[in-house]
Amino acid sequence: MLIARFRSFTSDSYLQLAWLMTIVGALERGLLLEPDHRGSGNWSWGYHIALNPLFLYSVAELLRWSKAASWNDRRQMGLLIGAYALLGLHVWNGLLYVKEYTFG
Amino acid sequence: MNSMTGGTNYHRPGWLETTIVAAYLAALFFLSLQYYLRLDVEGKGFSRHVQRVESVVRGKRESPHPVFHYATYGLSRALNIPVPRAGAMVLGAANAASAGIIIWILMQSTGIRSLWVLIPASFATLLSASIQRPFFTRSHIVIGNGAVSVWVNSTSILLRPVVLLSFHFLVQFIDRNRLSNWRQLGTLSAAFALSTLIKPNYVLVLAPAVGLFFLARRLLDWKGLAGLVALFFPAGLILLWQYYVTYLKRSIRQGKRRRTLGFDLFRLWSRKSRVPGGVFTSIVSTCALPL
Repeated sequence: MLIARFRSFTSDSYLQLAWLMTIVGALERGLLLEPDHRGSGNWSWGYHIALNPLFLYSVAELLRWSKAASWNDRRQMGLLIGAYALLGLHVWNGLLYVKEYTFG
Repeated sequence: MNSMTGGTNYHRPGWLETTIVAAYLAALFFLSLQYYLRLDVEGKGFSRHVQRVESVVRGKRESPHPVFHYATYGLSRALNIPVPRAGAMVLGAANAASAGIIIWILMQSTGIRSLWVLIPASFATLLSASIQRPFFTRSHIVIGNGAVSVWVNSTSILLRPVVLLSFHFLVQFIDRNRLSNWRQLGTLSAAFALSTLIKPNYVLVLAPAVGLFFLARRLLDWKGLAGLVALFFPAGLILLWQYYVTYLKRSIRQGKRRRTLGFDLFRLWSRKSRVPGGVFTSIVSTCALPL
């Protein structure tokens, strides 16, 4: 979404703040740790939480893009199909993750 | 069924739409309930939090973020049901609330009214996780990669509806330059304080991000700075109390100074991601759609 829809991103405050939060979350996760619980990864929670608004407003942008897209523009259709394929892969992996945690 | 009033974007849902959304949210609630009760049986993350409920409420154990424990205990007492079932109900309600909020935000920001689009989109947004299969095996999604929803973590699930709503209203608040509207500022500030009591990590990423956002938008004049401080002041006080409970109190009790913060330079993340390319691949596979 960021690459394919950069022009929309520049005017979308929701996506801008969501990306900033994700970057801050990634930096906290990568740079900080609790010396007494080195392997706990407790500083990774901010990154996971930041992904919520990031995905929500990315899906919103994808839906707006789909609504406005022209079927005659093959390049745009290709990019849209690619974006939906990525979303499908994210959801499939989410389902696998739930399944693995529930059923082992 | 679709009515627009007074030129605004207000949409009053008909009975069929209301019934479909209610059925979807109820299905999510009951699916979540079964999921968490099963996790409890198998002794995974959720059950650890549930086991702590009684000891936190009875003051035998200090929890710096006790909202899940008190909500679970309160529901268990009110409905006279076992604590694990009450905990599963709290998280089921949080998942259903998150789904409802996602549908509402998608309606607001896209103008789409079709539930055949909104319901699958909300389900996808709730479930998305780092893309590992079919490209990688043996990688761990939670520690080392990323997921929108860390399903096993009770506090993250309970926090999610607060994150989604407060983030949406915060951006509206900034965009409409409402920094002098003290009622809205107070409501957001209370939401951030509540979120800190559920899990502190949201405010720990949001506050620096909002500071940078203000800086980029050249909003950091005296009014902007005062608004920023007012937004995060109650949450900041709670963070200080949490720091005292988690680290300082124990150090004082043990009579020795302990290091509370260390620096890692991406080593832990790289080791736990278990994908070729380490942190870079982990970020790309986690944020593939947003990127």
